[in-house]
Amino acid sequence: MASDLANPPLDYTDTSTNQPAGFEVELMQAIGEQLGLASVYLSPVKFDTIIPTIKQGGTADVGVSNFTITDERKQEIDFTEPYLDSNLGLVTLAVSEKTTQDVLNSADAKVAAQAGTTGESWVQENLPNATLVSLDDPVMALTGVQSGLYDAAVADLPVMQYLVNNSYTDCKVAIEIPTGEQYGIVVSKDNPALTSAINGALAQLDEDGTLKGLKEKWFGANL
Amino acid sequence: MEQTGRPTSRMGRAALAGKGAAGMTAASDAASRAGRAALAALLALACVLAVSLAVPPTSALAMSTNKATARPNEDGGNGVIGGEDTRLTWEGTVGGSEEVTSITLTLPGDASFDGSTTRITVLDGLSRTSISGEATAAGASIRVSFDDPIPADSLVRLEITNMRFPTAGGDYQVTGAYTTSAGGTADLDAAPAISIIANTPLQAAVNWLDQQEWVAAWNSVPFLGMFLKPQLLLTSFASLFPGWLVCLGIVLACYPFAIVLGLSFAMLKVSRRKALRAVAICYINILRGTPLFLQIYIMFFGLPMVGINIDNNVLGVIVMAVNSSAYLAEIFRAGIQSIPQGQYEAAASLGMNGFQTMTSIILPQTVRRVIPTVTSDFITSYKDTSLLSSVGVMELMMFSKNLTTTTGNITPYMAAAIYYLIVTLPLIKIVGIIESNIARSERGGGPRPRRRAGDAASQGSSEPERAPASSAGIPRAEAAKGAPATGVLAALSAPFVTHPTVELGGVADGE
Repeated sequence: MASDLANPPLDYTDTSTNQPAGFEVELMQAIGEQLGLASVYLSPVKFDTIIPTIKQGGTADVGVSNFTITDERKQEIDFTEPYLDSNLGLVTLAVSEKTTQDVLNSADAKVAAQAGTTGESWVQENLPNATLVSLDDPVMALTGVQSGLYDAAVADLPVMQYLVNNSYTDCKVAIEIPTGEQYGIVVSKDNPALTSAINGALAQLDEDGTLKGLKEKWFGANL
Repeated sequence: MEQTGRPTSRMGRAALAGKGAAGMTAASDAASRAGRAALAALLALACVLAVSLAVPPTSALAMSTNKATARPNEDGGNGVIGGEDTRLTWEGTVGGSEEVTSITLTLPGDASFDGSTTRITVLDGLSRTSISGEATAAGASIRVSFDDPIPADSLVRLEITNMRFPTAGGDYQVTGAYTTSAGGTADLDAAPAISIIANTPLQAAVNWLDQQEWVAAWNSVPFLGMFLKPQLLLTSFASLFPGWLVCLGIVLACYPFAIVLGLSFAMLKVSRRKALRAVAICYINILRGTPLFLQIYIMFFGLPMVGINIDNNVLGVIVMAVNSSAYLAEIFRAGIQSIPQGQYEAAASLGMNGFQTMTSIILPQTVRRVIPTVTSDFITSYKDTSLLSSVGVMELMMFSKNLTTTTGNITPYMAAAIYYLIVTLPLIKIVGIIESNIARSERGGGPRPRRRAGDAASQGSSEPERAPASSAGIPRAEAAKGAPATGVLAALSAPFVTHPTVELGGVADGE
């Protein structure tokens, strides 16, 4: 299982135990139990390399790192059924005045996003005048916003909300971008049996309330 | 908001790259940049207009169009090319008193929705409403009918992948109509125009490659298709080029500073005063003892925290210069100390003071000796600029990373490797040539008057002739050179190693 483990509360490395933790990690454990398989996380990899890794096969069977289901990605790999609905969030410093899309869409605004994500495409299509800075993970983007290096950062809303509430308390979610994207688990096209097995397990978990329980545990609400 | 694709965001980057590349910016770019700047101004204006128009009135009676954007599909560029697959994103808000059952979008000219796939997203605020539907493409228009009517005030987004804009360039507006559950049909507001460019030669070349059988065969081998896909290699070269300029710009801009700084700290380190030596030792050891990656992080995230905001590229130059200067200081220090003590004594006997000795006797010889090592360090610095990608400097690795994420293919990294090698391989060769030249001249084989024309041929391999003349100096001279590979050859007396009896003391202290 490959993940970048840099998207709390979805997936991250627990600093006290040094083990992967988060919503997705527990979801994958539950799926593993359903299927009678052990879910083993590889050490964190870069987000942009996960899909090529899964496509190549060998090192990892599935990629779970809040992948939004898009038709472009579907041409490379298969997605399971969605397990979470989500949106994007744009984060700025709490004291910042550059918080609207108009102000940020200017040549002297620097907006950070995670390379290869829907957040990055959103910036490309909707803030065409701003300077896009593509980084490895959202945590790095927020570090840059906090230190004043970038004016704003765009990434998945649940992740941004969690980070802003827990670690980057002097930042705020300035714009909640309604994208309604859905996260799916990435499986190689050569492995349709696994895709359908995971889909079965997901449906099962949805039915018996496990999925709902996990969402309430990690997001405080059934999104 | 919601103009065409991303040309201007890339423009911003290009402008940034230009700034950092300090003079490296090709003059030929100027013309096209002026054109782009004008375009950017127009776009900005259009954006402002679009924003004021697009804010949906809360009590709208009819469906409003929020935006229509196209995903840039120019490989290695940022334009939207007509006649090539791309993705159209159309967004609208359902009016306050109606429910929409189908939407038809239309493009002018020979645009085509045939073979496209459509993704429907319906949102009420931030929460997704699950509504599926079916898209029927018919040439330049597509009709999306929804299984359930879309409730009032919902946001509808249609992402149509693998559709094509008209082949001729120009500005195109998406028009269309929608039907409501009450059975009415109304026209949609036209969305802000999307700029489409005609096909580029590069794209034409890619299309040609797409049709070749050998390319298909090549790509069917998983490794080759993943690492060396010809089409992608071609476009990677084009799109990585600005990154390559930034890399070169950074390393060329940083190196003069690194040399000056390095030389200064080398002089401090060989100083007689303990305090000066201590300063140099701290500087060199801290910089050589920590990873460059960490230094980059500290500088890029630390400086803005204390209120210093410097352009990313300039900061990149500073970090590279400081880091490299520590290594150069050690190289220069070793170079200075490799000059035999006798040289100092000879200079003193001519009545030179310390400064004169250093500038006119020691440093000129040092420079000769350190050129290969400095060149190697230059190569290292050039490669290390790749680390700057982690903090958002738009250099080679950054461009390859972006391209890899959009294509899911490793080929852009291979193109980056080639861009690195273009510079490093010739330099490595040059280092080799300089080294052998120095080795030859240090053993006395340098340019000199020739006795006879016929002797010229034996120049490079004439050690035996000269060996007897200098055999007395072999062991000591060898120690002095500190270059084991060329030890024996170097031991053959070089013209300027003239005091073998005293040179031992001055040179033994490498560290």
